[in-house]
Amino acid sequence: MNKLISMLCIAALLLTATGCGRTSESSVEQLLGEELSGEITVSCYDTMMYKASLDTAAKSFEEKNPGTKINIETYSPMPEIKTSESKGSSMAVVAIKEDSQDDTEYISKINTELMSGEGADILAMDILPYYKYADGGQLEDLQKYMDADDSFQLDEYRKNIIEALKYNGGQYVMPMDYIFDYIAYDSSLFTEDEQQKFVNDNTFTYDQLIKSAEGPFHRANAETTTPKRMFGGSAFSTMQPGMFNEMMQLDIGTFLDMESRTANLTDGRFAELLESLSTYDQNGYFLPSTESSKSRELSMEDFAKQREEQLFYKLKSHFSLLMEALEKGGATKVMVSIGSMSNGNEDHDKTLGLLNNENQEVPFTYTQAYGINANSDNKALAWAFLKYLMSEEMQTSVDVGRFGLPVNNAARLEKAKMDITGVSFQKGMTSAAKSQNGKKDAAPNQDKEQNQNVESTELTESQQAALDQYVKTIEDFSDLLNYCPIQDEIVKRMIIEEVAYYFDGSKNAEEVAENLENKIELYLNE
Amino acid sequence: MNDKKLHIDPAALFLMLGLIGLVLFYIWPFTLSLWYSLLDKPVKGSFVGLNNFIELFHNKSYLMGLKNTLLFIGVSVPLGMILSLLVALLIHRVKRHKKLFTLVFLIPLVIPSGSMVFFWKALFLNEGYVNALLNFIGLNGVNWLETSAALYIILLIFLWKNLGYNMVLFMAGIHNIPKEYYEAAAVDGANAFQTFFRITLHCLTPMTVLVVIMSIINSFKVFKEIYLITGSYPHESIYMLQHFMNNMFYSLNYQKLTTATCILVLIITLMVQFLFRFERRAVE
Repeated sequence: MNKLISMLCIAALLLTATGCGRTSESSVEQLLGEELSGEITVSCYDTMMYKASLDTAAKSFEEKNPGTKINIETYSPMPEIKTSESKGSSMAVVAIKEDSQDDTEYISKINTELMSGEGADILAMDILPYYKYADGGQLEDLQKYMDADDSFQLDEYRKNIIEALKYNGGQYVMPMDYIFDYIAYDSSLFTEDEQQKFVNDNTFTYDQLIKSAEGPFHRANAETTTPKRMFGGSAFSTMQPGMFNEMMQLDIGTFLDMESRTANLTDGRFAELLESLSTYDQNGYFLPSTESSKSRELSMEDFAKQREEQLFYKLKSHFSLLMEALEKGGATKVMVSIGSMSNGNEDHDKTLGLLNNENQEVPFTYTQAYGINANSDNKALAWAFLKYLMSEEMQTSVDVGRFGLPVNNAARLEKAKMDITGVSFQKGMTSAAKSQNGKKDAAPNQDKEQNQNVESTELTESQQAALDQYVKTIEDFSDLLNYCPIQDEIVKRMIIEEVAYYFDGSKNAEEVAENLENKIELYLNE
Repeated sequence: MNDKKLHIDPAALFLMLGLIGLVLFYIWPFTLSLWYSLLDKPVKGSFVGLNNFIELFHNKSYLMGLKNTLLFIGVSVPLGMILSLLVALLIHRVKRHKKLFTLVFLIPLVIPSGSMVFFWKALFLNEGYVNALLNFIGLNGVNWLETSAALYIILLIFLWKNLGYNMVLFMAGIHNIPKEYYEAAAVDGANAFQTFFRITLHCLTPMTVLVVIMSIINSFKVFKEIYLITGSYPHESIYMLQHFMNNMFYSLNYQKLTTATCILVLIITLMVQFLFRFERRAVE
């Protein structure tokens, strides 16, 4: 009997899996030769960034490829948009509710579908931990499709952005666009000599920035009773992680290695980060936590108050570069403030460069990126739709309304031109009005007339200069981008919860680092 | 020929109902789990032999959960038994208010875990009553639930919850020991120490085995409180096998979940087998 059991065990050990869900290279070529037909579903968590844009793209794709059907599913509720007006200026606040319960439910739903061999054909990687799906063989390696498809030329796209999303040698996620933040400084707070020190560099670490501004900071604050801060965020609060979040995001790659599933938080660098944040906070470099953690929703008064604050540095979205270019081109001034950081007074702002970390990683992120489900029955259609979303036509389409910079090179330049001339905004407003009033069927001639008007807009001299400057800055900065941190909502929550113990004084930096490392490794290795 | 009638023992019919229940609710789900643990994925999966088992024993989180669970059982079960036996002996000797004392120790059994979680949290959170008290007397507070001190808190919860149950079992065992044994020991001049080890403990062996089995089962149940107090990813010192299995359930990793279940069943079966053998030998 014992012998029999031993033999059975050995037999079981010898039997190994040969099955594989992912499509091999030869079958990809076969797939690409198939005629497009049938139905696919695209699933996204975020409604605001995806729904309208994908619906438009799907409709256009279906018209071009009769016999195909693209279904769009989104999960989160649309954000609330509040507008207010005061003294001739107006403000719109888009309040995006971050609901961890909703996130978890959506991820569970996708997990259930994938584990049961089903699920949407295309998955938007907005909150999904794609590295887990890639490891589990649930996502197609798009590199095979890129290699086998002659109509896809990587040179036509921002190669560094696409390749930065590679994981374990595979391209499981395809970005449609990218966004990044840059650093601007208030030139009125620095002397000419001090500003000259910045000129030779285009990437900076937080330490470099703070060291460069220490002298000017003490000088400026000695002259006035109104404190002038270095940055417009608080050191840390559970509601608005502020400076900790920014610094951690920049260094996350040095602390976490998702590919090898390891966390390295106990070599002293993480504890040093926390301690230096505390020191900077005590020195008054950041906004006090109590002031910035009250509410996420900005009122007109708050905004006016923020506009009076002088800050040494501002972390601005790439969108601010466009706003500056528009202003230079003669358009009305529009100010954009994203997230919890205050931009303060922008009258003397000058563009400085990008943030990087010790490993020379310059981070960026995306608003839209997709993966193809390895269980999909119609991978050919899924890949064709992805390619369509990346096409120049779709990436410049105002109806698709992309906030980030298009990955398609030609589309990025074309869109920059449309943005500077205001075509994007006019068209955007027209399509928004159309969708609100349902005018499309009622007055087609009127629409045609409007479209002709906006399309015929030519660049003025000042607009051309602004466009050249804008495109140069965008392209120079884009060349430097090389790192897109993998987002994992659970890891994010673990970090916030644990770091809160450091800032409320119940744990020291080393304890937080050790506990966090253990927890994250526990989670990553499960 | 027809004289030979098919005779069915009525006892078999009664047993059949139980057997159906056992097969439907225990044997069948376990067989299904065992089958899943030999596949690479639950749907259209391929047979991978013992690969999932090998992978699981290379999984750091699983090994940590296994180590912590065994450590917790190793500490909590003997400690719980010693304390409950001590309390049972004390109550057995008490002349007045015996029922009241018994009732006091049984109260934790009837309080729902959910409501008790608020109490434990109020006590041991960083800004809880215990730390407030420590600060009041001039000592530094401890982050009880987020440091290695969490293990002691879980131990305390386990003892608080299960002391009464084990105590009642021991009291029943003590009550069944014939008084004549003690009288004979007294005549023979045995001291209290000898009486306890040679008579009380010896006669309590079957009950002790039952208490060990029940304590091990209850030690797994303490997960409910740990989970409600500290969530899915607690301090590493209290990350148990159930955390691993619970997290695998939520991330729908059926392979790891079912493989871990099979190993757990194997460990419990071996433990129970060992205890029954020990009981048989001890009684002989």
